[in-house]
Amino acid sequence: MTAGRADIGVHAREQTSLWGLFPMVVVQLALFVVPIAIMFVYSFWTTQNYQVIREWTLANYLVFFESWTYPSVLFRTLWMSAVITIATLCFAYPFAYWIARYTQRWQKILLGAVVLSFWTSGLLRAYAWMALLGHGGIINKGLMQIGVIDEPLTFLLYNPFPVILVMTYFSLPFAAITIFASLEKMDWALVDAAADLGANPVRTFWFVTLPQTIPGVISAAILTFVPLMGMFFVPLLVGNPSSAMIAPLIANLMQAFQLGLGAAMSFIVAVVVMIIIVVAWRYIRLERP
Amino acid sequence: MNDALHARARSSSAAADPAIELRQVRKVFGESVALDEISLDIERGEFFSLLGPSGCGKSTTLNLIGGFEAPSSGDVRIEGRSVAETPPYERPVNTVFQSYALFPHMTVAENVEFGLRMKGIARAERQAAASEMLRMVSLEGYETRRPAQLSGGQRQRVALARALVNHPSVLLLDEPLGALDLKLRKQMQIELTRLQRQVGITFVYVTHDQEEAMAMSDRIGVMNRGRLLQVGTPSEIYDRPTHRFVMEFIGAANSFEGRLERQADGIGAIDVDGVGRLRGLISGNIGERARAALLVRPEKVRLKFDGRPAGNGEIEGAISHVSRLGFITHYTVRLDGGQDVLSYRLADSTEGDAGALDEGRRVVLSWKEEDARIFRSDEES
Ligand SMILES: Nc1ncnc2c1ncn2[C@@H]1O[C@H](COP(=O)(O)OP(=O)(O)OP(=O)(O)O)[C@@H](O)[C@H]1O
Ligand SMILES: [Mg+2]
Repeated sequence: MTAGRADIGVHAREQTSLWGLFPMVVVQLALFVVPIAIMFVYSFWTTQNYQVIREWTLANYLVFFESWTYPSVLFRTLWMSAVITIATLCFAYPFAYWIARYTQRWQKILLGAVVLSFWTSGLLRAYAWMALLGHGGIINKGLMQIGVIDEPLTFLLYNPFPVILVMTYFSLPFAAITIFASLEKMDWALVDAAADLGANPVRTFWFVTLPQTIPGVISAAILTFVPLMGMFFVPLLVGNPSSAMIAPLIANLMQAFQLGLGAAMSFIVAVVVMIIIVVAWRYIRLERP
Repeated sequence: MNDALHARARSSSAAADPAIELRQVRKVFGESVALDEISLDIERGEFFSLLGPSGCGKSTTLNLIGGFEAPSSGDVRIEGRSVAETPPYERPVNTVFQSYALFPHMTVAENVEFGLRMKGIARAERQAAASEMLRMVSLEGYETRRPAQLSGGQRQRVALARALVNHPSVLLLDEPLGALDLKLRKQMQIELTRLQRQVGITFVYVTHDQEEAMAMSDRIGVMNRGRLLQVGTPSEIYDRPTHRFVMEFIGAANSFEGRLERQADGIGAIDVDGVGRLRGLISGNIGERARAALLVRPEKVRLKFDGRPAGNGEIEGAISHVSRLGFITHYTVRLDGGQDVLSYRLADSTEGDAGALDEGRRVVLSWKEEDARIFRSDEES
């Protein structure tokens, strides 16, 4: 209800303390704008015999769009990232809701545990998953022991399923924390009000809780989706080797000193990601005037 | 009015059961007791107020009726039916929340229509009902606004319309005027009472403002520290309080401490050091010679500026402060024992010589013994 007034306050503060943003601008320049610019320049150069040829050309972009090979990798990556993002939100929302609504004394500890998982090595956890899912892994061994299956399940590794599973597991904490923040901000009296007006729990969620937290859901979706576009070792470790993702492909090109093509591809990915962010951001803006 | 007829027809058809019954309701949060054995009947069509200081359990009581909390023990009945197993979305009550709790992402019209939409009523019908209700609360033309674009008073009226449009058996209102400024509050008090008469719905109204409760209610329940101390009409509560807390919370009161000496016909006397022997009606059970407090309202204390105390309950002092508030004047009298006593007089009172009642003037104070009340003084609430 006070959103209008709060917004005015934010604007006033933005104007008075622009200098406070100075360090952030420097960091942004150093870590974001400069690398993108370098990449952009390289994408118009080519390499031959491990030499960079500094001549401006669109050759790299033509190579990318020439055949279906490279775009298909990009689309597969987009598609997988979208599926994983949706799966992540489906798990993160109920989890965040539970923490926000039903845990009081344990709330801080649970949130701490979630944050802690950011600090454990991702590679380590990916290997742990391989140990769980592999031919001789705990799941297959266990199921064979109790006689549910006779031969190890093959779909547990080296196909899209384990990639979705492991990446969802990796993304969960970020999404859950983001959604938790928006649930935390929500006025829970609104939920009581909906129930008071005859809405059962499902309808209360659909008509009140979800619309109230949709900006948090979109933020969580972006925070999940964007890093997924760069997913690297998980598809290499547990995915199908013949259905590559874009980041390992770019890494391969770079290692093969195809710097120009790698840079062009990186730049295309960056543009796609930025378009998605801008669209989502505008949507949040429209939702909450 | 169609609505009024509707409501009245319903209330006369099954008039046997009260709108709300609380039966020995207790509510405990962890260690602390929020409500202690509350029993209460609220009649149909009544404007009932729950009055008490902050934290006394008013909102908790409403939450138990609305179904947002479950009682730790005891039973809540709505129109004769126990609602222990009934979730809030199936109870025939609606609530105007302390914070209004309007849905920020919906327009005014969508807010008001929400309850009807949940009941599956067709769009055209619910739009008609919502706009009629908005007209009733003088908000026609605001249908497409968002709650953030409304003033506090307008939001309050949207919250009211959103609840009333469902024709609940009972409307629960949790300090609905608390956020408004004084002038708007007075105006809304009048509008609310008018509206309640018009629709004939039982109102359970929570407030910590005793004037508001007195002005609006058919009956008032006074609460303190999780207990319901007294239930009665505004004048019963004011003139015949059963607890010291009730008397002091509703209106002003002078108090004197001493030991009780019982006399005939429910009248007692207490001896107050340095003041003398004061008489009043005994309230409740107080043992002979037990410590007691005599309370008397300022407007019952008469001032005489001439003569000596005649002994039977008259006491003497000097005026220490006078504040003239227009039609009424407040006198503070310092007794010879050092205690201050308040006395209110109408400004045009012809009793005594009003003009001569200035600061420093010696006066004699007295009251009718049935106007003063004696309570146990160890009574903690
Ligand atoms: N969810 C809760 N958990 C723990 N204690 C609570 C809870 N809700 C209320 N209480 C306690 O119960 C008591 C009564 O609270 P309640 O909200 O009913 O007071 P109130 O009379 O409505 O006060 P106010 O006028 O300030 O709104 C208070 O002591 C409060 O701290
Ligand atoms: Mg309250």
